Amino acid sequence: MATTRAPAGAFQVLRRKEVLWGYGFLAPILVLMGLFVVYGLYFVVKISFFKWDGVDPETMVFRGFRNYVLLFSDTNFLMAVLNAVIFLVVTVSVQMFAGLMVALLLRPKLFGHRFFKALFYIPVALSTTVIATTFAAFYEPNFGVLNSVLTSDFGKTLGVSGLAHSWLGDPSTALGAVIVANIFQWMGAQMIFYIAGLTTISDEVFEAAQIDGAGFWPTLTQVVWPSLWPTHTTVIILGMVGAIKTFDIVWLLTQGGPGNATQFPATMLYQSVAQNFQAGYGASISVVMILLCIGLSAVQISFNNRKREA
Amino acid sequence: MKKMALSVVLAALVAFSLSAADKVVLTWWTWTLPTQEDFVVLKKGFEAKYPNIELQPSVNQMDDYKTKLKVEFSSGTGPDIMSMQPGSMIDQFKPYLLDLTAPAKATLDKLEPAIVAEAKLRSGGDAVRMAPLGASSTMFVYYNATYFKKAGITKVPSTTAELLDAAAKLKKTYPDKVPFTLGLKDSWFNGDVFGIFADQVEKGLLEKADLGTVKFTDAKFVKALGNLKGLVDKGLVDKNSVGVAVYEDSIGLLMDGKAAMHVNGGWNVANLSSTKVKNDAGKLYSDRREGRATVDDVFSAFPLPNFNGGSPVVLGGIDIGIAINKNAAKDPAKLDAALKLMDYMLAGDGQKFETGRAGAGLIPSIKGAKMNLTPFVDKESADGANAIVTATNTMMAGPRGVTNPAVFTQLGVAVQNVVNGKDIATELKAIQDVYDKQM
Amino acid sequence: MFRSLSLGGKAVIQLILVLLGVLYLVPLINVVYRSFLGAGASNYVYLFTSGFPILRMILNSFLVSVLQVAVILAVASPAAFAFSKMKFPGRDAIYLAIVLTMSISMLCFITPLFQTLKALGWMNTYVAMVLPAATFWTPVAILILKNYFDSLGRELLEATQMEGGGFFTAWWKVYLPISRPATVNVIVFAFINSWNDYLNPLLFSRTDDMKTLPMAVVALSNSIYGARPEVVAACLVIMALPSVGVYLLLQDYLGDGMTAGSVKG
Repeated sequence: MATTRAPAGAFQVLRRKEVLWGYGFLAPILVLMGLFVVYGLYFVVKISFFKWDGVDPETMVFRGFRNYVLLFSDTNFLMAVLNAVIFLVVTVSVQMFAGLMVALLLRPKLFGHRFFKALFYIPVALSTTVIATTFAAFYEPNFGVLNSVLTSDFGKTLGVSGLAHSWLGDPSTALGAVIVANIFQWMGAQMIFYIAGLTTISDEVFEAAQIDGAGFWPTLTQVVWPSLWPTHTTVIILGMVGAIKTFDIVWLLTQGGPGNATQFPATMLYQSVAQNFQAGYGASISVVMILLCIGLSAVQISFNNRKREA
Repeated sequence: MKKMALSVVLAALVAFSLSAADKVVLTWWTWTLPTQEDFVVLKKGFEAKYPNIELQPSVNQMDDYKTKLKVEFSSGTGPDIMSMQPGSMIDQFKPYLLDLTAPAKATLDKLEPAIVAEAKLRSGGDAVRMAPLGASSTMFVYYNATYFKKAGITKVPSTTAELLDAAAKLKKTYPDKVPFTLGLKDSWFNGDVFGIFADQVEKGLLEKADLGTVKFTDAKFVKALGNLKGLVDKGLVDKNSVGVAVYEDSIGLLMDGKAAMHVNGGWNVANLSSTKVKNDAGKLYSDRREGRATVDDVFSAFPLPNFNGGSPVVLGGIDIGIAINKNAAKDPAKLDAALKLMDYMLAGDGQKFETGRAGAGLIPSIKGAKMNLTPFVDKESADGANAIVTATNTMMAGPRGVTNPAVFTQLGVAVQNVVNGKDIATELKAIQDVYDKQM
Repeated sequence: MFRSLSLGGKAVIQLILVLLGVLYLVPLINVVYRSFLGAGASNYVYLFTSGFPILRMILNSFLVSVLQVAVILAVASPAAFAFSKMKFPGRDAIYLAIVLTMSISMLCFITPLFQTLKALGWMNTYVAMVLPAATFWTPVAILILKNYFDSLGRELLEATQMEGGGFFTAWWKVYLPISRPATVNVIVFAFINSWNDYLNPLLFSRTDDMKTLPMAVVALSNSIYGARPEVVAACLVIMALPSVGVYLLLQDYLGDGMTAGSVKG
């Protein structure tokens, strides 16, 4: 039978070779993904329907959707989601503004611009452990830098010494304190995004706006800001994913406390599984987080594709 | 050449098996403690005393330990001797463990009766299935005795009033220092804070709630958290404490000379050591004593006063117990060797080495137990070390923690929230909710 | 809007930059400063001689980071090549699936990872420290490399095939060498990411001798070693040097990667 299609044979062989080699090149990643991601996905979805301590597989008890019912009626989880939303809104808006401003300030390539660019990016290259330890010492209530400055003679003159308190121990300031540390760490990344985004706007555009008599703010709001939407989208979506994933800075600074004031979905997940031995309940948090992340990634991918087609 | 090498190996094997045949081989599995390094000393000392016994220790990670034991026991073998932990571990393995009441009577009689009773209670209540190698307890107030002297505090505080008085005197003498620091940032510590305040109201109260015989919403718990709230109102416990971690914030304040009193578990006894003496390795007994502002100061400790009135209590219990495999005990020679090892570790030279040593933090259970006082040169620090031993062996009100770790986490949350001024009844209800929900 | 800046405008910008720079510089300098407080350089000496296994942890950090980078490259480069240059059924679907998982935190799989690693006997070993974390970073590497391969065109592949070379030759001998800029990006960012990672050792290392540096800082201040804050600061400095050093040395070569790298952040 094959002989009747002989003329196409060489091409067929090449095609088959391409298919085989294609899968061959993908084999390592598929094996790793299968072992850790696909199996992991199956496993978390499965145990999210069980009550289980995560230790002895013989002790699993099926409980249907009860974990999800408990999760969505758990005030701590709702609080964690609210925290993530606050974290997202504040972080993203501050970082968009600060990142863009710094990128603009660096654009005229004034004295030391390379130094400043590197400096602002250094925290991104640092471990969160370094950032968290530094900020923990900064916020420490008794002899920390912040309270020491506030209660110093200088602080007293300014009348701010009354602000000194336990920044991470007071539920009303703990989340803010964590957000500040997080913005300090990641602002450099947004700056890089905006530097890249700004290269798409030529100097002529800026000048044209100025010839029209527009000042700094009108130029910024009417010309620069709208043309940076691709960058804004990236920053916003990465900010969302970041807010869902945020774990290490919170865990290192507050462990979700005081009380549950700085609980995030990820810290709740870790606490449930590693500290409270609630693997089943924790898995229901995992499933919700995974769905959100995949959804956001899908939005970003479709946006990127549209951008490419446009 | 090859043949020769082979015959040498064979000869060595024969020699080894011959010598092993004369000896009783005793296997001891444990986790973490005693450490590999400890076993070098322990094995040497034990085998020197009993030349016909060979000790084969194996130190595991806690994670693997239970699995390894489970596999061994389910195939009908297992180590001759093994370390046990009260709680889920001994509950799981007690069918395989020998009742020590009769065979080890001589050794058990040398121990503090309260700790032996505890060992019995924790191994099912009907038999003593583990002998207490070492115990530990919490909470103690570690203090800078040099500051106390300067502030004119002559008596070690044992009541709320005395503690408040001491704090006031310290504040007057040292306006820039924190008189009393209690780090309330960490969950692992706050659960114990809850427990100690509860058991101050009634011994064993937390354990009762854990068993379900008392609800967390009970008036006694309201009283307990009310006592904590009272300390905040009186200014002894700073609201800021919720932002202070036990390690290294709170303990650092004490050791750096920025605070006069610090609350922590008895396992920190080494910090009372003097900088004038060094250990066998030529180092200080506690790393925290090195290079700090308090290098010349004297430290001591006393049990946390009972804020409900009455005498102080501590929480804790047996850290590690030694158990004997039922099957191994069928061989009389093995049983004899195992009992010898037990006596060596609980009441002999092994005890002197392993427990009561500043670094290990294990409090010996032997009657009239004392710490090895070599590191505690000053009278105050020796008194402090002895106070920790006495409290551990005689003032125990109940175990640390509760069965359900989620409840334990919630106890810590309640402590933080109460210190931050939240409603006590609401917090207690939240604990009971977690207890009931069984997530 | 800045080309025709007046001198005054320039001065204002310069001033803002300097102020912001101080805000960033002070905390960073402060860590270095604190590490010399009290006993001066002997804080560093103490760190290495107190019995704390810091050398082992530094070695662990290097080993884990280098191995992760190696695994990521070995897995991602051929995969990115296949996604970009080869045609086979299911290609786009698989690519989409891989990219979709990019934003999922490894933490979500904590229980199955524990189960798998325990079952395979890998817990608290270098394998556990390398494979899962590398797997979860590989999609980022695939993305960076595929974008680069996409910009190269298929002609080079066809030319290789004309000369009788196979797909492996085309990847190994032609595309991999040409993709050096993107590969360097992947190496640098995968290294920095792994070096700084706190979650990975938190989940998979159980004993001090298997911990990497981000856990060293935690272990130092939480443990019986009871290190002074100055010694902890010294440890922070040691930990920061390689990642910041690598970044500063190579920053001119790092274009797209700097943005792609923060996808995981």
